[in-house]
Amino acid sequence: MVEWGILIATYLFLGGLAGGLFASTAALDAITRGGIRRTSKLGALVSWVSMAIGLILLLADLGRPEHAFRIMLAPHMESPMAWGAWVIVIFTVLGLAYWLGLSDFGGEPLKPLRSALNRIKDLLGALGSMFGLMTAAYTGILLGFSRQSLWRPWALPVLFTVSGIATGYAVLMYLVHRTGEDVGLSPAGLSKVELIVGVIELLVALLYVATIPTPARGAIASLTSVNGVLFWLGFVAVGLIIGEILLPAISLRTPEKAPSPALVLTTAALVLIGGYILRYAVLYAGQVA
Amino acid sequence: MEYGVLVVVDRCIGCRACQVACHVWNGTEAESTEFSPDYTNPPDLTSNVWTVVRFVEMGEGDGLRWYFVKRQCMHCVEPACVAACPTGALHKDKDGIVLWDSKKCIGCRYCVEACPYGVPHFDPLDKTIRKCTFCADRVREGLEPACVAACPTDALIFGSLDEIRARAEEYRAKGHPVYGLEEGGGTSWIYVFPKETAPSDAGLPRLGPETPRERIDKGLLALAMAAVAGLAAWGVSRGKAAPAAQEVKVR
Ligand code: SF4
Ligand code: SF4
Ligand code: SF4
Repeated sequence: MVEWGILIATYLFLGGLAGGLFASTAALDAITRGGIRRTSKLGALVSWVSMAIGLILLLADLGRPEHAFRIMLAPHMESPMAWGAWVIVIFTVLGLAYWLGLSDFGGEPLKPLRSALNRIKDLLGALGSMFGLMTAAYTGILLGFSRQSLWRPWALPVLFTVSGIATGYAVLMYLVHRTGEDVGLSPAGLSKVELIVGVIELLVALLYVATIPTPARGAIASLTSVNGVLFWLGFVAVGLIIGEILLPAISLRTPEKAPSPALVLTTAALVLIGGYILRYAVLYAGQVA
Repeated sequence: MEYGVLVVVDRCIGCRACQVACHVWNGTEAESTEFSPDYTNPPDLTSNVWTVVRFVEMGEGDGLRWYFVKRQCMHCVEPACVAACPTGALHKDKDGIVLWDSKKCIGCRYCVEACPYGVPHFDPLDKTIRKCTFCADRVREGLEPACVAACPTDALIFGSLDEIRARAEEYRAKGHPVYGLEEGGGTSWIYVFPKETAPSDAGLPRLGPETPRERIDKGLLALAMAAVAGLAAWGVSRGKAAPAAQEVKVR
């Protein structure tokens, strides 16, 4: 029986995206020593909004959302869901602070707060990256504490984390393209990072499938089930092999030239679609296996 | 003292008196059901059906027989449902009974996913989970659980957990497969199976000795590794900072 459905699938995806996007943004911002202010601001904002939407979906899925405060105020701290909720809340606060420090939000009255936050931007970036990747990993750890054989392999949180980084990075590449800021790395360097993440993700995906115990594996490994088709075609073929490996490899063939807008957009779209399908297929297949 | 029940599978005749007694005592509504191919009826536990007698074929060759295996909450020694519950709505009391507090339940259904036996069910009307209570309201008044009291063949034996475990060990020494002494840290409802059968034939999950706590600790380790990765990614990027870009900041 499917107990956790589309709202949770979307939340798992958005959590990974938010975490990966923040970590990629903060990393690029650190490389340029704050030289890409507009891109960083946008990256932090998109990350924060994704996480906020994810949290709203999570609340909407609860039987009694009006009691959700209990997780924060009177948590049973042993529960992965309780510590995960704390990780996410800390991450959203850090993300908001990071963005605020870069923005002009609130005009004159908020100026002292903004410049104070801007001064500790490095600290916020480092901690935010930490909590961002914890958020991405947590979405997999959450599923891992269950009876579902498809969710229990330890490669799953790794896969969700790498996928979070890949989706976040793809969105960041689109934002870099939009702002046109100089990121201090050649287009080839940027595509290479994408390609490396793609290859790692492919290996982790295969490891994940290989470590699912046999009776349950078919629910996702076999092309006879809807979720299997989604997993192999939607996630592995379209998102991973085409989006994260082939398209960056194509950009690499012209190392000096920035990839065309159409290529950047297509790459981001395919990677995002693949990432979403991954969460959807694993979540549903896990409950029918 | 912790309570326990021994379920002696080959004494069960499949009369379902326990199912009826459970509904009557707990006032849970009956489900309208349909014919199910294996005669298990209703086909599974639900938020109203807290116990169900599974009809299963077990054994091999001439030993192949129909057996009846009552299922309900196992009141695990280390319950995964309790560990999963983020608000502490589910809890294990000193007498071993695992209960829930509907006022604290937020309806996240994590317990539903976590329980290895598929026991807690979310009730869409109550907006909370429901399951077997071990008849805490009887047991704590010195009575047997309703299902145990109704059983005409003594297939269900109620007692202290120590006593129940000791009897299970005796059966095991005689060559009976036993379920619940170790699995997932052990359970308060322990099953004795007929020789030549296996608990997994009756749908009981093959659980290693890993306890929920041990699994959660591994999850925390994974979380810590993600934290280190996040910090390292940022630190390495910072170390790579281009000197030209640094000037931008100085200006
Ligand atoms: S059988 Fe399931 S619901 Fe019952 S105590 Fe064990 S984990 Fe909890
Ligand atoms: S559904 Fe209720 S009882 Fe179950 S884990 Fe969530 S809050 Fe706890
Ligand atoms: S112990 Fe009580 S609640 Fe549990 S199955 Fe038996 S009659 Fe039902």
